[in-house]
Amino acid sequence: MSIIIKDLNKVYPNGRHALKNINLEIPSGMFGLLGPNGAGKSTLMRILVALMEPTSGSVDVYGYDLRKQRKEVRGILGYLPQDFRFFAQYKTYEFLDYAARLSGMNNTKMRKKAVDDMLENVGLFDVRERYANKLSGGMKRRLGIAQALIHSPKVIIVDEPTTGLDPEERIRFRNLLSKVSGEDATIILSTHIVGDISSTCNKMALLNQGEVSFVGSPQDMLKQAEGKVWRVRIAGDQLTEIDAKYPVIATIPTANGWEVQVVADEIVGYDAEPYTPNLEHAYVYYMENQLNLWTND
Amino acid sequence: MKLPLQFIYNIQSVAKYESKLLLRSWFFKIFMILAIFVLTIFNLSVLVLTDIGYYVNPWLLKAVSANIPYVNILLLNIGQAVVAIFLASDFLKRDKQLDTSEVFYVRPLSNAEYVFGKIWGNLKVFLLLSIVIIGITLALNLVSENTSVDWAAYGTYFLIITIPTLVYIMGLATFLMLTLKNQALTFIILLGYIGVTIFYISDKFYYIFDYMAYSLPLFKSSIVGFSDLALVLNHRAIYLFFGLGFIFFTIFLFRRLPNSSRGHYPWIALSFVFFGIGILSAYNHANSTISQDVRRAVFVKLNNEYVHSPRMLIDQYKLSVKQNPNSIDVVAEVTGVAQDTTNVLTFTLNPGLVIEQITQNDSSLNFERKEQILLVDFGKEIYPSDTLTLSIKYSGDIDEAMCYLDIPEDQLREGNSSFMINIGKKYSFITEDYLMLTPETFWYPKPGTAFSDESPDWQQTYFTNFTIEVDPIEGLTPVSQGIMSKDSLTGKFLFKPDYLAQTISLLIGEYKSKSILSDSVTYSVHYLEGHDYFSHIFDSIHDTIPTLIRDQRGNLERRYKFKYPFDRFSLVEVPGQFKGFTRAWTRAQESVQPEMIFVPEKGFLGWDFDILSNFEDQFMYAKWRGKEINDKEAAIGVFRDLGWTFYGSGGNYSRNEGARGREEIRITGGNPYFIFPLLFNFKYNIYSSQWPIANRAIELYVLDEVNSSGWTRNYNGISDGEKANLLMRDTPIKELLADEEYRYLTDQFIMLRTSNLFTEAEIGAGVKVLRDSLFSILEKNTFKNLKFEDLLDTLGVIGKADIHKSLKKWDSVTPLPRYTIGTPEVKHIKNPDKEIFVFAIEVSNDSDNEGIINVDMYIPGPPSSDPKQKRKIVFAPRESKRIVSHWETAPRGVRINTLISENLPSYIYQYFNDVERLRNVTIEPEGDFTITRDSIDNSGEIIVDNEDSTRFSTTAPEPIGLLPGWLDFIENDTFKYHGLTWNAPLKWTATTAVSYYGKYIRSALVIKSGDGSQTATWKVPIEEEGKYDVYYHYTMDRYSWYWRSGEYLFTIKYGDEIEDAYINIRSADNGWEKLGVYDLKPGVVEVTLNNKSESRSVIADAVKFVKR
Repeated sequence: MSIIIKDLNKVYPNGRHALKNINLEIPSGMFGLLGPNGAGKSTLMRILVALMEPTSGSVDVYGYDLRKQRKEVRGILGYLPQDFRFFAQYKTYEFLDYAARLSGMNNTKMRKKAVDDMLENVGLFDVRERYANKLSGGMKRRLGIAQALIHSPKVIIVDEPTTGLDPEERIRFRNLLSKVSGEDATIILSTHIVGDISSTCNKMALLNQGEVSFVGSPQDMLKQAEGKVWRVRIAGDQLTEIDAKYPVIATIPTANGWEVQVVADEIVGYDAEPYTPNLEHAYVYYMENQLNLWTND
Repeated sequence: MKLPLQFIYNIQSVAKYESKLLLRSWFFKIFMILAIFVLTIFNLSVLVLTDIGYYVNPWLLKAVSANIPYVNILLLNIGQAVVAIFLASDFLKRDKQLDTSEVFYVRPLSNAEYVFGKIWGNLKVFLLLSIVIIGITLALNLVSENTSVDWAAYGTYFLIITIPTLVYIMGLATFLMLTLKNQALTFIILLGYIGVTIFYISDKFYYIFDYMAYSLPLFKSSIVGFSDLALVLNHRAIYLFFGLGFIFFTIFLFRRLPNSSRGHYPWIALSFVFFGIGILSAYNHANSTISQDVRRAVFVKLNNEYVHSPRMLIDQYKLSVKQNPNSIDVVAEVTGVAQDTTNVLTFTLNPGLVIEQITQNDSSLNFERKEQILLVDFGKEIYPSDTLTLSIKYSGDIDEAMCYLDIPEDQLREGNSSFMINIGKKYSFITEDYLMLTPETFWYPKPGTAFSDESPDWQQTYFTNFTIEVDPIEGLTPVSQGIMSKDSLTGKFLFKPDYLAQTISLLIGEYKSKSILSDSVTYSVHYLEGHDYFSHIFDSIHDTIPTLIRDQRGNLERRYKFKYPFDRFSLVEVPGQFKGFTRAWTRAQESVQPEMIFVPEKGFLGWDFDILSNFEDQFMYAKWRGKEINDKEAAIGVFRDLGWTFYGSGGNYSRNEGARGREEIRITGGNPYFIFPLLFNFKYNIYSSQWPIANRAIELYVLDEVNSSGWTRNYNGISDGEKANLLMRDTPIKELLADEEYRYLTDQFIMLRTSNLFTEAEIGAGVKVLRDSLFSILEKNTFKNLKFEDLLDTLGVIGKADIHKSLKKWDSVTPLPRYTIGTPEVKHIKNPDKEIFVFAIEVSNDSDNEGIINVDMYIPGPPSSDPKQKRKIVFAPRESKRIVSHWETAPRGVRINTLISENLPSYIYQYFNDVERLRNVTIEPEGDFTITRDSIDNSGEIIVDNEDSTRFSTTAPEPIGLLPGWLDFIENDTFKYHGLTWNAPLKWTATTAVSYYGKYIRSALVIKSGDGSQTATWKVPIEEEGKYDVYYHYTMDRYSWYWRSGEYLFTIKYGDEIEDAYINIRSADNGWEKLGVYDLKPGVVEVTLNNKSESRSVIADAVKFVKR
């Protein structure tokens, strides 16, 4: 079972072409959607959860046509929107119960158990009587994922879930998602944080300026960046100079200057040595070279 | 909708959480607490602790207990309607603001489920609140004494008031919110809408805009229930369906992708279906009233057509009535004489009653029916004085459109309410267990036509012999005029009035009665089963009641100088909706009929009918007077108080819009239970084919009530009498009487004209003699038809005057005389042989029209019948008179009423403070002496008054903004003079009062004190050089309640000089105040007064120059 996106376009009434001919096949498992802010990730997510209508193209979700069978699609969907901060005056467990009810969990007893289990799962059981508005940022996110998972959906779409979370919360969150992905569901994780994807997804796509510029596994992405990442040692006054020449990923002060990591096909005229790339490097390399986003001149 | 269960379940889920939100919002919590608090206090004070809070008559609610839920639900409904708007417009906005709402939008529920859920969730909470309030009301209703619980009313009012209102307002609010996309705008528009419907539209447009049912008549009688439940339900259907239409439309407008791509369309289709039903209901509703208007117009047109057609005079009616659940079967046998030579006679019968057969001497007659008009064809010529007997058989029910054709539509439709209870208006009842037929319904055939707006000929009342035989539905008892007997075999009742009556009424219901005999008159109360809430109080004074009645009757007969003519007097309980109107030609409203007065159920409209409370209050009143009373005395007190309901002519002071939104006080209505018609209108019949107001004219003349409520004149700026004068100067009285706009002045027109009519005769015979003669003529004509013109001739013989001739003048306009009235003087003369007070005044008629004035002297001491004290003096055109009279005691004052004249105010009174004492002088003889005009004018005085438009001028302030300019433009100045209130006017405003100076019109211009920018200027021509004393005519501001202080500032400009002058208000008296002495040369002197003053207002009146 998979999600098949064909020739998807979205043009906003103001003329902005947010999605351009998107073609994607998303298999079950965890799928990462990477891209800078404004790349069209949220637009794609919102189309996938039937909050927005595409201008053209089709989406097939597990055999259902998204433009015609929204009810069916909505029935198998879990969604955590990018912004998840402002709640109506509901208690934590009420929010979850409401979500469960609307997803057709009619049996009161079973629903109550599911809600309690889920609260336990996301570590919110102790604050179940607290108003959702009074939860901390991390707790809100966890409540968000809880509501997206409460009805065991087949497709889970999470939009920028880790924004604003501290590292511990973020790890916890990733683990929670991984656990669900083991249960034969499709999870689409949209993010601009490369780390979220590298640690969890087995397939990913890169979205930039409304277009898909890469589809594959994170490893494929890494491969493309092998031998293109360098560690350069420079004197204190050379930092501005190198920053202008190459995309700098990291800057670490040393005793007599700086140690910087840069992405480039080759480095000339500096004390440079190759460096094993991670996904973040690959992402920057990709953005730099494949899309010519940054110009060095 | 494959899964209707899931559909309901989803709605419930959304609703459950929406309700939670509403209950958690502060706004609603405060409203809820406030609503519960206010209504609990209201119910406690009105129903339980009736001693506090006399802001509403508790009896209104207690007597007809359906009013308890009615008022409570109505009050709550207004609050809910406002709050619901806010909340309903809020919920979609909230959705937009909260980013977490989207996680619900992606659930598989449909848009319809979501919108329904939201609305149902809100609605549920409001309904719950209603139920809580109803519960509290019910609990307090149960513990309240002296009332009952109308269980059904609780449910009915909830269903017909609360539910449609909430559905409608929530639907409308969400709809507007989605189309306008602005909560503030939505809220303001809807709040404005509520305000407009309550305060402006209220009962207009047949209540069609009254979505809250705030003005819609929803009174539920304890006798007949709702007057027209079908109409009410239809009205509520308008809003229920519009509300549903809006809700369904909201689903269409809702900004979430529908579950299926064509998910919208069924809802929008349904929405239009609901709008359609709503529009249909609205059309039905409006049409029910409009069609009534159309029918009324048809009826009047037919009346106009047949008003002069031949008719008979009926001497005898034998009516046989069979009551059916929703109709009556009647056989009317009428005997009378024809008036003209004709084949066809005209009758009028209510168009709801269908004629089956008409026979004469057992042979059928042909007849033609045109709505209410019945034309009976005798098949041969009949001649005047032929005695005819007809039998008319008919059945059906009453078409109320036939009633009150003379009353303008807007008056018919005017709300009839007390406190918040909208009672509605019914003129007859034919229900399964109640029947009420009064003459206005034309339930039996009457000769001629009903109201015609073209000829007064229609209005012919005659005394007739009635007999009614009634066959009521089993278990019910009829009430009618006359002696009642019951045939025990047939179960039929027979009523036979032992007098000739003009009209007859029939009521049938579960009537019980209590009677008491006093001075051979049987006094009865006919009440409906279960409504005896009074006898346990009055049982203790059973033996005293005849004496109490004798006293009250004695007082009444002395006051009005007429005897009560019937052997019976009954108070009959009727449904609350029964309503009558004041007519131009009689003081009797429909609630007063021969020998009986109809009182609305348990007298719920009157405080005095709350017998138990009044009984308890009597002890309190006695305590205040420092007395202890026992139960019997308290009961006597209650009985006496009850009497007041019937003794006053009543009338309500009501505010009406005058010029520029200025309110006018008018006396409207009249006490519908006033007993006087039983002493006059049903006893005498003064008829005139020319003047249908004849009865009224004589009635007003004999009552001789002077409407001299000065405060209304102050408020309105002109009295009704003065208004009537000015109108009659330009328009014949017949036209004025037909003009709806001046209906409130009817009595004034008639009163002024009648008093004028009799003046000559009063002078000829003396007022008292003439009046006494009139009383004895009337008494001789008890229960007889008396022709107005014959009456006038008889009185003319007594008064040595041709009254009949004066009556002819009624056809034309009344030219008005105007009088100059000199300063009255009183001299105390002590001569050796005689000590006497001599009063003298000079009055001049300055017009070419003759006139009459009244001169009334105030003489201390007991009232005397000395004709000198109240005199009428006739003035020929241009005639001047010196009126001299002698008095043994000092006259205190004089009141001169110029009656029909141009003088304003029409009366002038003057008190004599300085009496000149003289000794040994010749005493001026008594009498009225014609003098020359010149002697009245004070020579050597130059006076310029504000009425002198060539010599007096004022400044006008610049209008600020568009609105005042527009108001000026539309200002309707039918009457130039305005009243004064606590708020002094911002521009010079003309007003009249006795204390102002004026030759014919005692007027002045008043302005609020200010910065001195507004001025009034008098230009005084000086012909002779010399030293002049300059005076200003000052009048104290009558609304100045605080200590008078401040000055009036003047400038006096003569030649090249400008001098300041002032009047110190503190020391000034009303009248001429001296400004100073000036040496003047021939030319024009300008005296200017400005509005800078510490006083509340500045009054510009007149200046006087006197040469030394």
